[in-house]
Amino acid sequence: MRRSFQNAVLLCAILLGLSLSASGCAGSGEVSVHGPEEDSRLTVCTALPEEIWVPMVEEFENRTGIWVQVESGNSAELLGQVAAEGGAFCDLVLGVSGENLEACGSLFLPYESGLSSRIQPDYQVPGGLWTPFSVLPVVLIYNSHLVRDNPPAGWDALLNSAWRGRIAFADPAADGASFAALSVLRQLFPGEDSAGGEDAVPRAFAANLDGRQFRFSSDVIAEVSRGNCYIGVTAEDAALRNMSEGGDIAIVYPREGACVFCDGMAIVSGCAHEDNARRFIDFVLGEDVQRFLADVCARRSVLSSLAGEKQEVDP
Amino acid sequence: MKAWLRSSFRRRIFVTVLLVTMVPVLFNVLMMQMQIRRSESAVAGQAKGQLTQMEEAFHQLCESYIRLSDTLCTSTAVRSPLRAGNGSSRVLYQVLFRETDALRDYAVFSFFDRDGHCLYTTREAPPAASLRTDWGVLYAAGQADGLVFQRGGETEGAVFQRGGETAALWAARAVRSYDGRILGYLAITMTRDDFDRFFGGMYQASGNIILLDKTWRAVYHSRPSQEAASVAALRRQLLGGEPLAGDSGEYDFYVIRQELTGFSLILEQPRAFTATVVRAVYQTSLLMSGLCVLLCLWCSWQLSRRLARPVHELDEAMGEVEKGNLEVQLPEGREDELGRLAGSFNKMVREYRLNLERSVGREREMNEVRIRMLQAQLNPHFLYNTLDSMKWLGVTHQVPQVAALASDLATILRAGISGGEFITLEQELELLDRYVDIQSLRFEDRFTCEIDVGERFLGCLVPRLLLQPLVENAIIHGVADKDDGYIKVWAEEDGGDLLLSVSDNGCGIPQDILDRLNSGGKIPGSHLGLFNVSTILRLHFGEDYGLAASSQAGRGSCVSLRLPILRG
Repeated sequence: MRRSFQNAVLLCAILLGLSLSASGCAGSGEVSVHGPEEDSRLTVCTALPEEIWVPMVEEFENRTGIWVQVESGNSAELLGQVAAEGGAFCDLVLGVSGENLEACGSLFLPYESGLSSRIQPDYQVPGGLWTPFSVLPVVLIYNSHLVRDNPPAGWDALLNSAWRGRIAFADPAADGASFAALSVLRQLFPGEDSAGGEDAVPRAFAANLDGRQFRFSSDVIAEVSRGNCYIGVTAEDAALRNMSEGGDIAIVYPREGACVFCDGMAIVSGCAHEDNARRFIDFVLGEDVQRFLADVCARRSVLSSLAGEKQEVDP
Repeated sequence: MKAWLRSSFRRRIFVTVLLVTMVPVLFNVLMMQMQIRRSESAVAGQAKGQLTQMEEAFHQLCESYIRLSDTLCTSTAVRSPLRAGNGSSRVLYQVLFRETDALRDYAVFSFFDRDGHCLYTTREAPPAASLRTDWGVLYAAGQADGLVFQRGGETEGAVFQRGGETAALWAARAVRSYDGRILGYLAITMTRDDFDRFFGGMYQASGNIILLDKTWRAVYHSRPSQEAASVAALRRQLLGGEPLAGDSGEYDFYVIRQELTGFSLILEQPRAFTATVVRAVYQTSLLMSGLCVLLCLWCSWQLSRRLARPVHELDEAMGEVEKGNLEVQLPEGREDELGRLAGSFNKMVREYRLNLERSVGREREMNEVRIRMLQAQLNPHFLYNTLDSMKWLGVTHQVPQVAALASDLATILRAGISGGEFITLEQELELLDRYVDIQSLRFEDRFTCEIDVGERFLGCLVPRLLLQPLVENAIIHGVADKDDGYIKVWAEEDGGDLLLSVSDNGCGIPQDILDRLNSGGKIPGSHLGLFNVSTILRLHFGEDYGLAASSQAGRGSCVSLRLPILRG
């Protein structure tokens, strides 16, 4: 009796075990494939629009065989995540304005590329904390259908109440062009209103924005192109690309002189794939990429050899 | 747990039955899972077969492209016009169309000059197109010796189209002069339509075929609307080290790497059992199993209750009996073994109760006899003293008979009231002798009494005054009226017992009294002595011992006492 009882318990246990193990194994029938080794991986976070980073990244992959993972977002968010997670989040920050990278200097690992000597002297970064790869003039745009008479001609248009509430302007914390434009305004019109002190101009400008401010620089072009805003502040390349795609905008290089800022890249300190990040920087500084950016993406190169006619004017 | 099980018969039955009923349920679940796995593996095997077939076909295609590139790029008919840099060589066109004859169904073949301008093409309408030589596929071709394969990127795609379709796959090879300078490029392009035709019919319509480049960017997806999301998910899963599940999780993925190009060919096949179906099947089977278990629980509970209840009742009844409750009885409705067991138990308890009552009654009887004897002991002291006085009166008045009579009587009385319950047979016979002396005086020697007891019996212990009532009975009721009365007392051994017999030649005992004597019944009036002797023997030694009488009317009687042989 006891023996048969034990046998029954044993049988139940075996059946239970088998059915549990069978249900555990009953997974999908996919073939196991292995991802690339750690030394052929790279994670890049970028604030660049897709039309710029996709060809760059794919060409890099084709040439090196390194698998690139891209996280895209706006500069402020990406830098926030880098600050929070460090090297675990990404290896390289790409397409964030030099000022923003400078402000978060402690997050990055300095790297002096062998090609950095070929960068135009004005844009070289001493110490190599970050590496510039594009020069971006900041321009004014307007909707060419809606604004026919008296298009904006200079930076003072941003303070002109005629455009009040109709100015497309991106968050200066996230967009290099907006940040540069704001700096220009403060330098061009110091103490226009003595009562306001240093902040007078930005305040007047903020009032003229009438509370409208956009998250991405791409929003600025879209808003002006659609006619929701009449004028806007953006980087030259984006405006040129939109015009080439048939957007209803026109570019104004301000009569006071356009200002420029640099899009840069920086290696995140403590990242897992530092060597590959360096290779990527070297690749981007290479003539092929710089020429490609200039020809296809309407970007101005930082390389002396490729510098075209400059629109920049020191304010 | 073990102790809990062992302590109860019912729990053991319950657990055993439950376990036994669980076996088919578990077996059922197991079989179902095996069935699901088997059909899944069958589907997987079929898919892998299809995938291998497609990979082989693609491999052959690529090989034929490579062979073609070998032929074309080393041909003088190609080199010379490219070196000249114009697009009007009829010979090159002839070579191009002749060599690509078998392959033009799936691809367009073109020659680009060293600056990336398209010079010759098998397309119907040659475009005025150019490609960058510092970027993309022509750059790669310039860096390599052989034919390089690349996915059609944004730039190349925009440049080179066929029927509105963007080129999905580019293969290019630099045409070099003998000194290694690049003269131009051979480019082979396949569009999505070309792939659709090429892979068409090689896989099931419900599945999808995906071609990815070395770093898992999409070259071709048979369902373009799903391309971006599906490939992005697969790439993320591969890089994250997760199993490939795509973006919806409703497909199985079978991957094969194409060695020649480094590309990966993926067959996306709807699951044989989607997660929903599997979940539904498992839920149903779980529900059924749950119901089965509940039913098993209920049945085994009932069964164990039915089986164990009579045993439990018997156990409880036994406990009651142990506590002294003899009134307990079990219900006897059942006809099986347990029913018979209950009947036997009831009978046993009844017997036990009767037995106890009998033994209590006997004890009471014994006490009554003892009380009677105590009462009887009161007078003899006084009588003994009186008899002693009478003896001395007889002596002083010269009446020796009176003196002897009184002396004998006193001896008998003293024996009756003093000492223990048992005396030796010798002492008993001595008392009997005295008694016979007294009766001889009374009956003027009209009888004789012969005592014939062997030496070996004299030491046996017998209850006191055992023989006296027998001899008295023989004298009073037997030989009293005769002149030649004869009484014989003898002892013998019978079956290990001592048999003391008294016989006479008197008138005999009437039949009814004889019957009562032999059955141990009480005789009113006379013969009380015999009855007392019988009772004493039975009380002392049990029902096997006692008195037996036989008689023949007018010829005498014989009364025998049976008692165990006890040595002092």
